[in-house]
Formats: sequence, structure tokens, C-alpha cells
Amino acid sequence: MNARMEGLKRIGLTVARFLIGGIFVYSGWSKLSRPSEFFQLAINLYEIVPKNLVPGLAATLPWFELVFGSFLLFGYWTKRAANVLTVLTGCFQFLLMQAMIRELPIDSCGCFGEGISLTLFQSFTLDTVMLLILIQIASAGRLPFSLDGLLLRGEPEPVAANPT
Amino acid sequence: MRSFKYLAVGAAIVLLDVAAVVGFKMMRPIPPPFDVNPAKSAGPADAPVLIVEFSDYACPFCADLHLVLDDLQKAFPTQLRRIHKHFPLVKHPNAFKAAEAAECAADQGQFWLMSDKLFKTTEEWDLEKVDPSPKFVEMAGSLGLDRARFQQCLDSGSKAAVALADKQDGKRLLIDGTPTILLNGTRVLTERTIEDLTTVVQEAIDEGKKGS
Repeated sequence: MNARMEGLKRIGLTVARFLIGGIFVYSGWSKLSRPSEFFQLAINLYEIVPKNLVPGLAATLPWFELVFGSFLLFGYWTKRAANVLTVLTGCFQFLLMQAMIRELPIDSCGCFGEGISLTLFQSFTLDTVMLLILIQIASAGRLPFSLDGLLLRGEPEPVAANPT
Repeated sequence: MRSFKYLAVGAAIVLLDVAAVVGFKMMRPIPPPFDVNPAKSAGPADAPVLIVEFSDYACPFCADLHLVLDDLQKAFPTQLRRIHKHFPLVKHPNAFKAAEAAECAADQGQFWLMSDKLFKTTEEWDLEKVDPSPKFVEMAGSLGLDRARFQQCLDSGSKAAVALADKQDGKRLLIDGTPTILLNGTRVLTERTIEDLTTVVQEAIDEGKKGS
């Protein structure tokens, strides 16, 4: 890849980092700003998580979204934040996929609070796009406009994954 | 030193997140209660336990729960009040019209009878690109309702606002899917079997006795 293309890719990934970080921050925020019981109900609708695990999951998962979404947004601990969010997104995709296959009666995915209502298919599509970009972010070097760039200036860049 | 600075920035981001969530929760107003149509309720008004059921006539899980709630009502005839709220899902093309049909039957005092019928016959009327209205009119006739009055009500679309208001009540309570039941204002998160719901209702009754 020539230098110009590499530069464009880095700009694209930086914009995507802001967008995806923002989406996770909003997603976590929307769940945490209302009683955890509501998110418990949303998890129950997918009928796959054991009932005794639902309260704990509903209480902790949104914090992961909010904190690691913030990290990605600010470009802090970027590589690891992208890895964590990649795993989360993969889990969400599995949940959505099984719900679509089983034709569960779910009107809105429950991913976001009152503001945004996505169907299972819309949410699955969004997650697929985010997953692909997150993998790119996790394997990219240090991106511009990030706290990592500011705080780790002068330190060696993390080694980018070699696709070959 | 650099490592400490790096960790401190991370901790500051986490603290910022926590402060924002806690601050917002403290300031958020509690939503007001919704209106209840007596025609869509069963059981005594002063019953110690109130179950509100958000349901979709084309949802098979709702049909199952509807039967369970019928049995529950029989088990607690004087202690349980049950209210039905429509929550037609977008993915079920005729569920909204079915909710209107149930409302038209409610005008003739037969909401529950019509609800039972709608749940039992979903496969006959929830078909893509087929107007279910003639089927609903036929059903109303078979239940002994005034067909002409029912048809006029259904064709006028006057009950769409009621069905929509029910759904908006659900949305206001942040409901995303069906069936959802609230027991004395709290969502029931247990299995929706008669055994589990009986336990939950009995616990609510016992709790009420303790409190009084």
C-alpha cells in the first residue's frame, strides 16, 4: 500500500474510531441511565442467557460498553479497547443471529435506550460493519487525535498485525 | 512516571463516566402512570395484585402467556386484577389491526372473548398483504357481537389511536418486545409458567399482608 493510501486509511480509521467509540458510549449510557431491570428484560427477550446470570450481566455489560467506548473515543489504550469491543460486538452478533433464526418476537433490539430503535436485522448489519472496522483499528498503529499519541509520544508504536 | 500519568488519565476517564451516569440518574424524573381502560381489565379493582400484560395478538409467546394468565386469574379470582395493553410489533403486519378489532369488541363488552379468539386464530389472519378485516368481522359475528356496529368501528379506524396509545405507554416504560408483564408496577423476569407466576403472585400477596 502506498503512503497516500496508508494516510487515507489512517484518517478513515480515526473517523471510524470516533463514531464507533461514540456508539458504544451512547449504548452503555442509554442502559445505565435507566434502571438495570429494563436491560434485564431486554436480555430475557433473547431467551438464551441463564436466568441467574441476567441481573449480573445487565449490571456490568453497559459499564464495559461505556468505559471501553470512552477509551476508544479518546484514543486511550486504543488497541486493547478495540479488542474488548470486538469481542462484545461478536457476542451481540451471536445473540441477534440466534434471535433472527428463532424468529423471537422482538420489535427493537434493545441495544440503545429510548432514542434509537433498531430491528434485529438493522442491528446485526450495524454490528457487522463495526466488527470489521474494530478489527482494523485493533491491528492499526497509533492513530491521530488520540490520548495514546499524546501520552506515549516518543515511545515505540505497537507492532501492527501482519495480514500476510 | 510516564506509566503513572497514563494510568491516571485512564482513571480520570472512568471517573468521568461514573460521575455522568450517577449525576444523570439522580436528576432523571420518574415517568407518570398510564391510563387504564376498565373494559380491558379483569378481576376486582381493589385486588392486592395488579398484572399489566403488554401483548401482540400475532405473537405465539403472547398466546401462550395469555392462557397462563387465564389460569392464574382462576387461581386468584379475588386477589388478582389483570389489565391488557396492546403492543403490536412492527414485524407482524396485521397485529395492529387485530388490536383495533379487540378494541371494537371491547365497545360491545366482549374484549376478553375477542382476545381469546384472536390468539387462537393468528394463523388465519396474520398473513402478508391480506386485509384481515373481513376475517375479524366474521369472528365478531361468530362471537355474537353486532356485526354491523363492529364493522363500522373497524372500518372507521377510530380505535387506531387507542392501540397506538397502549403501545406508546409500553414505549414510555421502555418495553422493546412481547410479551412483557408488570406485577404491581415491576417487571416480571421469571419464567412465564403457571408455577413460577403463581409463586410470584403469592409472594406479592404475602408481602402486601405483611405491609398492612
